[in-house]
Amino acid sequence: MGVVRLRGVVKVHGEGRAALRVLDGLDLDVSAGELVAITGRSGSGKSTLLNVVGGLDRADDGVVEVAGVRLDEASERELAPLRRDRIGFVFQAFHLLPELTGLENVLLPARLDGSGPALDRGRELVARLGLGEAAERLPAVLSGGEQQRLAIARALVNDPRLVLADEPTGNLDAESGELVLSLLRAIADEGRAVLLVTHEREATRRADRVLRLEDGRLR
Amino acid sequence: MRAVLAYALARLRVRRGRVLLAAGGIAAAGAMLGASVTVAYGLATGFDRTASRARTPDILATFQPERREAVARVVSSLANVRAASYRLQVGRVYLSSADRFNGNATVIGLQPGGPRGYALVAGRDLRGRGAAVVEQGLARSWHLRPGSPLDLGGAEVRVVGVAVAPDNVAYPLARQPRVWAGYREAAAITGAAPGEVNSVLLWLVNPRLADVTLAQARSAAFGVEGLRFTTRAGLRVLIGQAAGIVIALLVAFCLIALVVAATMLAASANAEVQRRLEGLGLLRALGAPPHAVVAAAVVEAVAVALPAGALGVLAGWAAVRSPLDRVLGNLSQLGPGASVVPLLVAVVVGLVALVAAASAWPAWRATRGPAAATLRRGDVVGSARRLPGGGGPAGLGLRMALARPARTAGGVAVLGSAVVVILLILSIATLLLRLDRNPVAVGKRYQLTVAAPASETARVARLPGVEAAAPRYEVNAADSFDLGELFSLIAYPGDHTRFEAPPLAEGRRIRGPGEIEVGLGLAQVLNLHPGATLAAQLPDGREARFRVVGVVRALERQGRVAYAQPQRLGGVVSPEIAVRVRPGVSTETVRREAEAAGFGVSSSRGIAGQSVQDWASRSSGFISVLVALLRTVAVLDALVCLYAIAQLLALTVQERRAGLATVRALGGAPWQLGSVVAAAAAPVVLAAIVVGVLAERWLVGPAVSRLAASYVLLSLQPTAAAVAITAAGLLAGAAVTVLWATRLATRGPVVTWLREG
Repeated sequence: MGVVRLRGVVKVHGEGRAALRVLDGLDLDVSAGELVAITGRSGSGKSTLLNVVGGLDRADDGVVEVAGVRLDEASERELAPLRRDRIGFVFQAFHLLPELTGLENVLLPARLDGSGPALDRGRELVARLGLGEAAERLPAVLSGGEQQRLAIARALVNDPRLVLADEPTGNLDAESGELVLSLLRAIADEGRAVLLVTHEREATRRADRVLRLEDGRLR
Repeated sequence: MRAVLAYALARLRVRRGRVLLAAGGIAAAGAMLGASVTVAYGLATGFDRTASRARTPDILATFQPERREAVARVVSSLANVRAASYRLQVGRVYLSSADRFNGNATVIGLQPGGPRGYALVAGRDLRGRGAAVVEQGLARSWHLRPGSPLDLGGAEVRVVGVAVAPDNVAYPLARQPRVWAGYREAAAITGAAPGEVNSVLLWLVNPRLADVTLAQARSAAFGVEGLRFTTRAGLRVLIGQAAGIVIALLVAFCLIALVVAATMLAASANAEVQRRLEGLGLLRALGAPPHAVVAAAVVEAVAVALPAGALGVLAGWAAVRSPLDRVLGNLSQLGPGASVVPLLVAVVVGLVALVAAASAWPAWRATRGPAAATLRRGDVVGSARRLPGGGGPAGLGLRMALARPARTAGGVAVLGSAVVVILLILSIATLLLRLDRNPVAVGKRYQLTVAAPASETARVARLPGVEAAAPRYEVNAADSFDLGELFSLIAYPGDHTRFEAPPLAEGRRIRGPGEIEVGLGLAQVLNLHPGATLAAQLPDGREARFRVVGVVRALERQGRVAYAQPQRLGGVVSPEIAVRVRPGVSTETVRREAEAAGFGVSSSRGIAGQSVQDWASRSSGFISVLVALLRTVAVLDALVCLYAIAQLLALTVQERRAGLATVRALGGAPWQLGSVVAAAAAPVVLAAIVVGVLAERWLVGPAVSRLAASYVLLSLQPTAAAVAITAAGLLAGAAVTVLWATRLATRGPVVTWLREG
């Protein structure tokens, strides 16, 4: 079943003579249970693509559909619940809130939803990922691997249909990176669609499909 | 260095929104400073400025009508006199205008030439027959201008000039307006014998020797009946201080406003540099020397502060100029005009210097540690401390505020100070309106007198609502050496300052039955100083001698009063019992209780007969202008307050942009972002309200009351309504700024701020 459908997506950075078509009529389909890796050189538009798919940024043209919802036609007010309930993000820089403990960070999307079952799932995820101790601490005192696993737990807490991971192992050592990639593979195997931006060979080996972004299109 | 400065100026060009916000805050604080300084300067210097321009005499002598030649002989025998003006001054002369206004006026007939004692503000001076100069208060009230015809005691005169003379308050505060006319015309109108005068104004070669001249004049004027002297210093006390209850309150308030505005500016400038620490760190990383980094911060701050500060100060001056001129006009005083310009320029310079210093300090500190640390301080990178608050949006906002304890405390201090100022303004306005309705509240520390013998004092003191009661003796006495000088001798057993405490000008308070405090007016006419002896002739013919230990600024009877203990009065007069009402209890309640107990009760009469009590009955305009003036400053303060909250929230939003973007990325709706921002503002705003109310109630209110006038029991405690209005206003302002900051946090694509983070 298709979770992501992109048709003729265009994204331009800059204006006038400095304008650069980062995405230039891009098409993409990702199905449930599929882990798709996007590679490409720096500045090729990998993160931009992920941001457009996740509703963090707007395409200038084309169709962006996630879980049956047209993001390109949705208002900011409509995008917020979509990001909360149907999409999970894993960032390279983790983006854990420094004022909240590990567990509070994981539970934040559930609290935004006000959903009781999601809170329970968050606690289960923390236990499943072996983050019992880390969950009680503030991010400032956690390792990069612990922070990224917490970020993955946070991405999963509302049981999204799509998980987007932007260079999730970029700030991690080899061992932690391996653990994170295994987690992402397991997430896809559970039936979610996973879109992974990476330039690491190890990451591409775990993917069902590897697409290269060149000149604004996927090849 | 040049590159660093160019970078600073380039930042200003690029970040226009931020620059405008900072400029708005500086302008608001500048407006508050400009308004405060203009009001404080205008009121504090009003008498001296006007007296100087009007050439107010050093000594004013009044007496029963005498031949001018006889008076001139006495004056010519005095050594220190530079100039004299002989005049005929007659009250209750019928006056009417063509616009059908009519009433009684005081006509002052002037001899040709010589100084006048007034300053013309419109038209020309007296010249020829049928000409009159009217005081500004009358011109305003009756819409008179040069050329307007008047019927003065049946004679047709034409207004040729409008003047102010600071030796009395203006009509309608003064009961009768003053009209100056030529001597012959005034004599004809009032029916005075030709050549007779009843007052003389004296200008001295050395005004500091006024007391010596007065002593000479007293002995040289033997035989002149009803002779009374008033000095310029005495006038200053009488005019300045009678209205000075209000003026001193305003001046004290303005001083506090100055401190608050300065604190706000310093906090704001500091926050501005905190916001751009990342940029400063980058400059350092690129090899910019520390002094260049600090210079860049200063240049950037000055480039914003100078135009914004100047504009703000100008706006503050413009906002209060007109009401201030009207207030001063009511006191027969001139507005500050251009004389306030150097002070305002100094305020702008001080304001810019303050902003520059407040910007330089954190920039200098940022150049001390490693460049990497400065680079990181553009954002909160983490804290090892666990803070209170839940894990939801509101809890997150609360923690964001508590993660910056120094800034939160600074915000509380600044907003708390603003709350204090607003409460103070509302309290002063309430007090003024109360004075307008109930003038007897001023002048005495007791509110009621009970007609009862001293033996009933304890019973009166036990009445519900009574805080203190004591027998009060008052007799009319005369100076044994100069029987023409009458004064009131007031006596309380023990400490009289619990009931009447005119401030000490010199010396100390009385401690025993042989000591006396004398009013400044009495001290001047009898040349009394601490250590001198006052021999008081009592109504039964006995003489009581006292040693003068203090000179007090009493208002009653032009300062011709004295305070002693009653032992030496020897039962010459029966006392009444002065009653001080407990704070919060209404005077009416106590009056009813006393009457139910069989006592006859009357009010304390305030400053009897001559100043505030009389003025207040005619002072609705005066009070309303003052209240308008206060409200103008309050509005400016509220603007600064609003800016302070906006500044705080903008800084939090800017600093925590990555965190807020993360909440958005995780699906936080705009209202949930609003919850985060509101919770970040809540501890500051709520704590500021509590701190402000407590500080005004227990610290600033009592301090300003003391600063204002120790001889009056003024309550500047905020009422429940004032607290509610202030809190509601602050919360409403906070709500507006929260909405604005939320909009700031949710505008544009999420990815923009995520990337910056």
